[in-house]
Amino acid sequence: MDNLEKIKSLKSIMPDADFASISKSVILSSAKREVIKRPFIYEFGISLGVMATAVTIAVLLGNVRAPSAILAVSNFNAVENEATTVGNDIDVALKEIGSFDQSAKKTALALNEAAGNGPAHLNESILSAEIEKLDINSSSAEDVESLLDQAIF
Amino acid sequence: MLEDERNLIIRAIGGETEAFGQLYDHYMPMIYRFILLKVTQREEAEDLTHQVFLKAWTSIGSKYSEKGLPFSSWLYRIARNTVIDHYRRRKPTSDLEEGEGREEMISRPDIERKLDLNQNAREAFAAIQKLKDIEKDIIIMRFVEDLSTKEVAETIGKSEGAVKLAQHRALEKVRKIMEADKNG
Repeated sequence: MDNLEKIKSLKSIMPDADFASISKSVILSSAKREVIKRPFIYEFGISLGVMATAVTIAVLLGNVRAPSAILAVSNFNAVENEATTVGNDIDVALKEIGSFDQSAKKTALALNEAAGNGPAHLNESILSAEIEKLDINSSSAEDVESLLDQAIF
Repeated sequence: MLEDERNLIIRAIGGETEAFGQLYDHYMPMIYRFILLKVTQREEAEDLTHQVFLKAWTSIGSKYSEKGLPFSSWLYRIARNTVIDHYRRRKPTSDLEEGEGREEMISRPDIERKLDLNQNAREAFAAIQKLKDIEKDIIIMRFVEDLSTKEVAETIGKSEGAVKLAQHRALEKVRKIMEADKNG
């Protein structure tokens, strides 16, 4: 028998029948084969990820710009003028608010004074002293009296 | 090649245990012999063969493409890698590509007796153990398992020309070893 035939005779080596049976049943029953079909949510997640990545890359490379950004760049001067006008309006409003504030303080002060001692020209003693000093015959006094009458009536 | 193998592979990829069971029945003895002639211990060969088919079953859906390697070549490739990993785990400092050093550690007559081989098979078994691993792989696949040169080339990742050259040199080595054993 030549050498090649001797080598081919090694084909007589066979596995033990019990081993073959047990090994096969163990492999086919306990081994969990890798799942080929993936759940929908997995595929959806992958798609979202790929889409988000593509958009990010496109924006970063400058191929895609947001419409608002384009408008902002083209109308920059108009927007600046509008902002200045609005700023001026705000300044005017603030000044008015300051004036109202001062008027309100003065009004409050006068009200407090009136509520406290009362107007000095309504004080009886002062009025009496003024009457005594008053020269009703003087021309100036007559003029004043006339003006008062016009004002009152 | 197994009859209607393509259909069985497609069904196994789809998860049919019965289809993979038929592939197992057909290819397991070949893979077992291949591994046994490399590791020379029956228990180790059984353990590693089991690992090979477990890997094949768990990864056939993701790793095997019917348009790529023949199924037999894919299995032999898993078997080769499994044996290499086995020796790497057992002897981290050994030269994995050389068979001679490993052969010295084995009590050969005892193993041959355990395998219950006839005289001719014992001579061939002893001669093959003295070859380098790559030569051993080629001789087993070509002349024990009758794989084509193309299938062997695809399994070991070499050209067909390289396989033919290595096969010629390995057969020449086997002839010299057998003559030396006969005369010695």
